[in-house]
Amino acid sequence: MAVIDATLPRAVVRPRIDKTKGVMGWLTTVDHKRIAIMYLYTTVFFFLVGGILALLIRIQLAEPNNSFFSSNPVANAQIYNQIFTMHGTTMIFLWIIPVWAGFGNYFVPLMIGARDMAFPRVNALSYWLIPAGGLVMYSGFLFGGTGDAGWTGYVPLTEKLYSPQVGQDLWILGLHLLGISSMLGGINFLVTIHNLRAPGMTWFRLPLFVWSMEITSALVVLASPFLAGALLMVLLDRQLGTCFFDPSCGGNALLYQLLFWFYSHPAVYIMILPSFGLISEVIPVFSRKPIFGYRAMAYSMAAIAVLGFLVFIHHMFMTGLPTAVTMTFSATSMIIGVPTGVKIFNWLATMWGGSIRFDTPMLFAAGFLVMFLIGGIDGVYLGSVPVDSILHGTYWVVAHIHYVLFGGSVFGVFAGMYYWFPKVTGRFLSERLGKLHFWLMLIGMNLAFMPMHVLGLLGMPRRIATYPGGDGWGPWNSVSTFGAFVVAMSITVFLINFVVSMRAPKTAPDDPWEGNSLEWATTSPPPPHNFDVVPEVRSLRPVRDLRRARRAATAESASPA
Amino acid sequence: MRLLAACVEGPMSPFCGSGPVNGTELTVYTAIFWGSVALGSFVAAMLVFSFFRFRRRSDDEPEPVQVHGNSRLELTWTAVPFVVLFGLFILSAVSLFFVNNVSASPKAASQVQDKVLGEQFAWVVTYPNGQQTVGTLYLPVGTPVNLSITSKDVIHSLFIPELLGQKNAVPGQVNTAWLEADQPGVWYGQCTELCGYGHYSMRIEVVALNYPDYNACVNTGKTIVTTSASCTKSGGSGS
Repeated sequence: MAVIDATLPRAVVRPRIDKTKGVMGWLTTVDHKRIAIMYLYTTVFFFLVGGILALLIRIQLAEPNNSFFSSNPVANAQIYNQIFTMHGTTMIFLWIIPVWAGFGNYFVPLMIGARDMAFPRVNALSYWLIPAGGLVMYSGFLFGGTGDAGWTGYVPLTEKLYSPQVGQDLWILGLHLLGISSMLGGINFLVTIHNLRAPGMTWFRLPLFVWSMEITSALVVLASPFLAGALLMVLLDRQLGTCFFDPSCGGNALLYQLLFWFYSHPAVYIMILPSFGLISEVIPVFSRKPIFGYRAMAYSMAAIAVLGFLVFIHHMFMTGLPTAVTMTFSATSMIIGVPTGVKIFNWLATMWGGSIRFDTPMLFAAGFLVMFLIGGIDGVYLGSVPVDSILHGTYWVVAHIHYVLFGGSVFGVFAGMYYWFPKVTGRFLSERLGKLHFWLMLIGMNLAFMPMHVLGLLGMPRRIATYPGGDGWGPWNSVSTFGAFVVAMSITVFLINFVVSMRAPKTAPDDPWEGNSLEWATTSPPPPHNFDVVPEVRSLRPVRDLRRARRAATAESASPA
Repeated sequence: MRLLAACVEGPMSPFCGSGPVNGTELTVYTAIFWGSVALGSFVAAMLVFSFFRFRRRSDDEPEPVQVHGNSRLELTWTAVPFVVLFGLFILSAVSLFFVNNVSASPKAASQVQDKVLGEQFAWVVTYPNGQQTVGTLYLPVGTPVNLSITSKDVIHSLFIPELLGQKNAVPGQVNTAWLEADQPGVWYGQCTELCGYGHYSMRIEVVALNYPDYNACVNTGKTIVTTSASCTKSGGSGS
């Protein structure tokens, strides 16, 4: 009978060392860190593509009666509709949602002290479905046009009668692949977080980023099937002549919206919760204080997730639902502001009395706080049905989503890029270029999106290909277009920073920021097996504990006996 | 409020509107505006203040005092936004009953019933006497007009920011919305739900006329197809 040596570390997953070198090594890898790096490259690539589409949109709208894509007004509008549809779909499904899966892939196992994700092969599959989904969706450009009904793809517009092009089917199939990727990834994260935590890593010692990935994954697993179902029904209507949504043969046009938003409102939180988690890591580290109200931060994320399922009707306030229904969802939409407010106040309190160092990650976190505040407050207007009546479907809504998703999620992503870059590569991104990137992006986004509030109040509908000159929309659109190009410059600075920094020597130490969570306990970059010895976790900030113990030991040996 | 309105005046701005529905919507908007300015600028000021006040200085201790939380504070900033948001919700809910239902108007007894059909890419209005206009909606001044809105093909949204706000036109379903103009004038509306390549061009002109002119216009029995109303000679200047 074997005797179990109680002194051995308890972690049991045997590290998978990739023996294959070179390109084949990357193509066949099941290592969570390599998969994560591929996730990040792929999603940043799609971010750039989506960004170029955004610039095309802004060029077309820069002035009244513009015909940038074609001198034929019908063709011009058809191309415009494809471009903003692909812009929205790309930014949501090929950038923000999977980029967090990428960060989660790299850092969830490290932060909980695990050797890998629970299902490494499934993990590789979830990654490979992303480029596949993207290619299927974009291949529409080769077959007479992509989907052009917006990222929401409302029926009956997506029915074959109104969108006959095969690109609309490819759009649906591409989204299906991305949905499967999300669900597999979500299950993988849940199993990993539930089963592979290091000794002592109790639920209330989990880093808040891990909490955010846990909650996000639960949302993904619960909500994504509704999107898959709705899209499948559209596909059946289009290809097999079923009649789910066409009222002329007994279908219901609003049924799609119910199913779609039952996924897509929680999806908003799928996009923003990981950002909340990341910001909750960055602010304490750079303020030298513990997160204020740790449990409230975890609970408020859970509350947002639960409420996130109960607000989706606010996307349908104008569809003619009974007053009692819209009123109920107006109440929940406003109440969801409460846990969101708690988070902002707790981040503020974390910084209060702290000793804040404004390295680039912290700059992006600070930018996140103010921009997300604006986006969140915009949401309150839209939660009130009478006010929504004058704002729904206008550029005000476009302003709101960009303050939340660009000012919130994307600023969070870049905070993460600068914060974790030294861990992933062993190199620092340049602080000087990083700060330039930050200020250009902050100024650019406000120039691009603040005028959209005014455009909404001037009555400019979203998704219009062009507009006549008499409405006073021209000047504000020109400012917005200028802002979009400033944002593009900031991203260019980031790319230059990336290339320059990757050529620099590996100077990053294991723990450059004096971090709190376990990823800083291993080398930069971490070895394939992550940890030589998995550290024991005794508090919320195990790496701070280690640092203090080391300092105390040094001080003791230095002092004369 | 006037100050804010001045910077966003235009032919389709709700700030330049007319009538009770627009007035109610603006009241709620104004309440949320001041509530969010007060709360938002307070929080933003605190954030920016803390960025500067608590910057790391060379004489900082390696670690400041480690505060982990404060239940009373956290309860306060849960409760205060809750009360503010709940107040805004009550105001919204009360206003919603008025905005959603023409019978809430004191003049409901004199209402006119029109039908609006959205189609790719035009608005067709049918008046009680069966006359139709395409691209124009004629209103009698000072009378509530109840619209039965539906669609022939895809989903559209009838958006008249200065008089109505909006309501979707959904195929297979009739939605109602009402509006009333206080004075003669011309206003504009546009489809706000993506409906295809002509979405950008799906506009509607709304012309409010005094009764004699209104009767003259909608009693011709002819279908008027126009986007620049031929009956506007006494329409006066829009606000």
